[in-house]
Amino acid sequence: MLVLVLGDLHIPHRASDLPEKFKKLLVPGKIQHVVCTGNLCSPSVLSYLKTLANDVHVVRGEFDQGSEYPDEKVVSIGLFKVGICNGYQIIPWGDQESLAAVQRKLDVDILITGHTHEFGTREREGKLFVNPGSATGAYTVLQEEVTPSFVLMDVQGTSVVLFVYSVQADGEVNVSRIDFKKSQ
Amino acid sequence: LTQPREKARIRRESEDLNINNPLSTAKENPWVIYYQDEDLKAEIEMDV
Repeated sequence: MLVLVLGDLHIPHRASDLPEKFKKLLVPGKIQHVVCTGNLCSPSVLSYLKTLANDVHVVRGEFDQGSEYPDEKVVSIGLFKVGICNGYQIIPWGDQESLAAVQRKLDVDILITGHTHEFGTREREGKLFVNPGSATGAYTVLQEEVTPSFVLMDVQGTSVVLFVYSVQADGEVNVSRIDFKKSQ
Repeated sequence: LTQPREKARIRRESEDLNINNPLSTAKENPWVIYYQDEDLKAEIEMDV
C-alpha cells in the first residue's frame, strides 16, 4: 500500500505550483492514501491531491485560513496508527522532545509533521517520526533556500519503506530509501 | 508474481533507486512491471 506524504506547499503565496518533475511522477492509480501536513493555502491544491488517491487526509497549517481541516488527525493505515499535525503548534519547532510528547499523546506508531520545510526522519523508542519537508520548496522565515521534497511510504504488514523524493540543485529528482519495522 | 518490493530487497545494493522506486516511469523499473501485472490480474478476474 502506497501512502504519499507531503505538505507546506504555500500555493500561490510562496510557490506557483509543484515542481514539474514531481508532477510527472505523481500520477493517479498508484497511490492509495495521501497524507498532507497542511499549508496548502488554496483549495485547488486539495482538488489536485484528490485526483491522486481516494483517501486524502489533511491537517491545518497556520496559513490555511478559513479551512475546516483539523489541527491533528489520527488514521489507521494497514497495521500502523499514523498521527498527522502541521507542527506550527509544537514549540520549539521541530524539537525532538516536543514531537515525542505529541506522539505519546496521540499514541501513534508514526508521527508525521511539517512546518520546518526540512525533510527529516527519525526512529525513537520504536516509533517513527517523519517530516516530508516542503513539496514546492517554499521558503520559511528562517530559510530562503529550501529543497523541494516529499515522501512515499510503502506499507506492508509491520514494515514501512520510505522513499524520499527531492529535487537537487541540478534540477534532477533524487530518490533515497529508509526502512522501518514496527516494534511488537 | 514477484513483488517489486521483495525484488528490491534482494537486489538492494545493486539497484539504482532513481529507477527502482514506485513512481519511476523507467521501463526497467520493476514497479512498472508490477502495476502492469496487477492490471492484467484484474482483467483476468473480470473475465473469469
